[in-house]
Formats: sequence, structure tokens, C-alpha cells
Amino acid sequence: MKPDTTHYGMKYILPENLNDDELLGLLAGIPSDVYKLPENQGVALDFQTRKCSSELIIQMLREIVWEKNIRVIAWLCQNEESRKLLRSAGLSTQEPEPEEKKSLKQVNQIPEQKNIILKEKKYPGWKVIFNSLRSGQRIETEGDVLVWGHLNAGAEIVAGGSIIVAGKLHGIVHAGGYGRKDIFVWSGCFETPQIRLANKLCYADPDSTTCWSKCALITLEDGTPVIRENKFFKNLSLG
Amino acid sequence: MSDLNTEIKSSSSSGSLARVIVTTSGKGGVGKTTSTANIAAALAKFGKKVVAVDADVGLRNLDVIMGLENRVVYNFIDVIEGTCKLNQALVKDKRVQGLYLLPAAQTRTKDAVNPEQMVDLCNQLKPEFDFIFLDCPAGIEGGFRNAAAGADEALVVTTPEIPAVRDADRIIGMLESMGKSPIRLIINRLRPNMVQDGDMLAKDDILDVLSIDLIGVVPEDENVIRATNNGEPMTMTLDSPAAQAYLNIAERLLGHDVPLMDLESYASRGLISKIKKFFSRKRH
Repeated sequence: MKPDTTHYGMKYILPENLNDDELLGLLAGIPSDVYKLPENQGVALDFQTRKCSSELIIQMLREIVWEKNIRVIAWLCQNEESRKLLRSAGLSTQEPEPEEKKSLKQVNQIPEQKNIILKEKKYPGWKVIFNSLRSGQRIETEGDVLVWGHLNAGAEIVAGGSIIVAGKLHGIVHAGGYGRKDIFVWSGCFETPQIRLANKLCYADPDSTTCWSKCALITLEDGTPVIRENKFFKNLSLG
Repeated sequence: MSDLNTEIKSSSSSGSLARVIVTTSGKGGVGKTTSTANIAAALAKFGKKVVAVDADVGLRNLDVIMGLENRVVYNFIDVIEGTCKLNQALVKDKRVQGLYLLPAAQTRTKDAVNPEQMVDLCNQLKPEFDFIFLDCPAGIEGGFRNAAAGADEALVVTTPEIPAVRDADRIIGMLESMGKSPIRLIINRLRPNMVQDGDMLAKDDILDVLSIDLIGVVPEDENVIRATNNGEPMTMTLDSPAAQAYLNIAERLLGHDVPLMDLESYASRGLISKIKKFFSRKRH
């Protein structure tokens, strides 16, 4: 599978199994700060195969995009009818051009800035998934991954960067899949028997792992995997 | 045959097109065929016109569970290949008004049909029935894809075991990507006593993983084996916990608000009846 990367900021893969109201509710519930990105980056909204009505698009613009001041640079959709509708409203339906390519174009035009631009570190970006990943589903990316749901047993994520699974971590995660070691795995509920960090393969046993079924952070420190329980959330009221 | 033709020519009771529902699971032996037979029979009892299509080509069982194996002449592969007309292949259940079976071929393989042909077959059946159930084979290969292709909705059957739940999860992912909706869950063969002892996955554990709507929980019930061997869907006659659970599922499919059964009381009732039986045997 070819690595799917975003070089322009964040790509939000919107769940198809929610109705329009539930989708708007989900996006509205995310704090505005989450959408804040550096100035040269933006958000691509990926509706997958969802059929988008004009009402949904208008509501998205009014209640989410303008309300939360999100810089949406692409409205991706596999449904041809919806794509036509989005295009007729002047919205871009193409995957944004990688930031790297844009930089190279600028290099050609302004030679004196060449050195400065080439020194900028390439950042593959976050991939945000608003679904649980089910058995048999696999995500592979050079960047970081946030799963706003569970990673079920039999599902798999390979990321060049770090991985956050907000729900239960039952499946396989491989952070630093392309060799990076400055990575971490964070899980809302750690329940996986195996975890992969860079070139390390670690096993976890429910009886001997103290963080089992708890919110946990796993990092690689001096080449050794370290798991820490998230204790400071215990007294935090989110209500 | 002429009588059968006349009977089938009458359209669905509601006058609208049928709802096409695939019964699937991923894992074998969890109760797909039993669930299909019982829910179809229950809906027919509620006055609906229902056809249960055995989509498990090469391993047909639905005819046996419905007790109609002796009356099978043609199958749906014959219909697809033009060997017979649809009306000739449909087997009417004489015990319940409005219940039909469309059997699978036992001597063919799953390659004998493709998804487009399955969609065509369902389109032929749709004007005549209120409900079409497609009993799907186990697995995620061609047989599953053929059966699912014709359906709009899905019933996913699982037992409270980790392998079955994991396979159900895989199937749900595939059904979602095929655009089937709604996808609803049946938890089959639940044993409340084992759940209480922590030896079996509880309903909420399964729902937490699968994250789809639950349409019913069917308790473990020895009457299922008896009914299967007798070729009589339990929902036709028997008063048993599993029969009641299937009747409730049928009602929920009709949009009625039916609360989930209190399985613990059924379990204790079963225990009491066993004690009674034990003492009555002693007296004799």
C-alpha cells in the first residue's frame, strides 16, 4: 500500500455512517483550538463516498468553517454528484498540492531565498480519523495519526510519526514505522498485546502490565520502550 | 404448479417494494440460517409476505431448517440461468401464510452466481414481497459479496465469543464500505449465567467493540436444536426464550418499540423448570 501523506496540514476523514446532523454535531463538538494550524497549512475535509446535499454544505460553512474560523483548502469527495455541487460553488475538490512542490516553485522564482526555503523541514502532517477502525482496516502514513474512536482487534496503523488512539487500543500500532525514534503512542484505554515503536517490538500482558485498561503513554527513551499511566486525569471533571 | 403461480402473482401486502436484508456474520456456526428462518417465519406470522433466499450456494441448509427440503425442485441458480421461472423455484410454506423459500443449488459452487445477477434476482422479487432475507454464507469472499450486493440492509449475527465478534467487526467494516444501511446486530446464544460469572462477553462489551445498533439478544436455548432437527422454525409454534427473542426482533424490524427481554429471569425460570422436572421424575 502506498503511503498516504498530507503535506499541507490536516486531512479529516469524515465518517460515512453518521447522518448529516450527527456529522455536524461531531464537528461542532471539537474545540476551535484543534483546527488552528500554521499559516501555510490548511484542512482538507474528506467526505469519502457521502452524498453531500446543498443544505449540508451551507450548514458546514455556516456552523463549522466560518464559526470556528477553519482554513479549509479542499473539499474531497468520491461521489461525482457531490463533487459537481462543490465545484459549482467554487470550492476546490482536488487534493491540495504538497507544500514541498509549492516551495520549489517559489525557489525557481526567487533565487535569493533558495537556501532558507530548502532548510525548512518537511512535515508530513496529521491524519485524523473520526471513525473507529474495524478488524481488517489498515492505515499507513508517513505522518502522525489521530483516531477519534477505537482501534479494534485486527485493525492496524503504521505511521512514520506518533499515534493517538482516543478510545480503546486493541489493534496493532507501529509508530516510527520508517525509522523515526522521536515518537509516542497515546491511548485512552491500553489493551493491546503488542506494540511496535521504531525498530522495537514490545509485548504487553494483561496480568503484568500495570497500565492495562488504563489511559497510557508509550515512548521510546534511549532505545527502551517506556509505558506510563495517565494519573492526572483521575480527578479531572470533564463535565 | 398453477395454484402456486396464482398465489405468488399477488403483490406485497403493503403494495410497496420489499426491504432486502442480508443476514451475515463472517464466522460460521453462529446462527445466521437459524436467525433467517425464525425472523422470516415471525414476520410472516405478523401478516407480511416474506421470502427467505438461501444464498449459500453449495452448502444449502435453510431448506432443512424451514422443513421444506422435500419440496425443493428448482433453485435460484436455475432462475438466473433461465432453466425455470422464478415462480417455479419459490417454495411456499403451507404452515404460515405469506412465507416462501428460494433455495440454493447444492451441486454448484459460489462462482455460479455474480453480484449483478443477485441484484437482478432481488429486483425481480421486490415487487412481490414485503421482506426479502438473503442468508449469507460464512466468510468474506465471493459468496458474501454476492449475497450482500443484492441487499439494502444487514443483520449481523454474532455469538458472545471473541473470534465471532472480531469476524463480525470485519464484516461490518465491509458492509459499511458497500453502503449498506442500517446494519444491525443480533447477539445469539447468550448465556446470562456465564455473563454473570464473567466467563462470557456481556452485551455491552460486544456493543462497545462493534458500535452498531442492537436489534436483539437471543439466549442459548435447547429448543433451537430441537426445532432445527424437526424442520420447524420456533417462531411458528414453540413458546421458548429464543422464539420470543426472534419474535421481538421481527417486531423491531417492523418499527415497533419492543424492550429487550429480561434474560436473567428467563435463565432462572429455566432453572426452576429443570428442578420441577427433576422432582417429577423422582415421583414417577
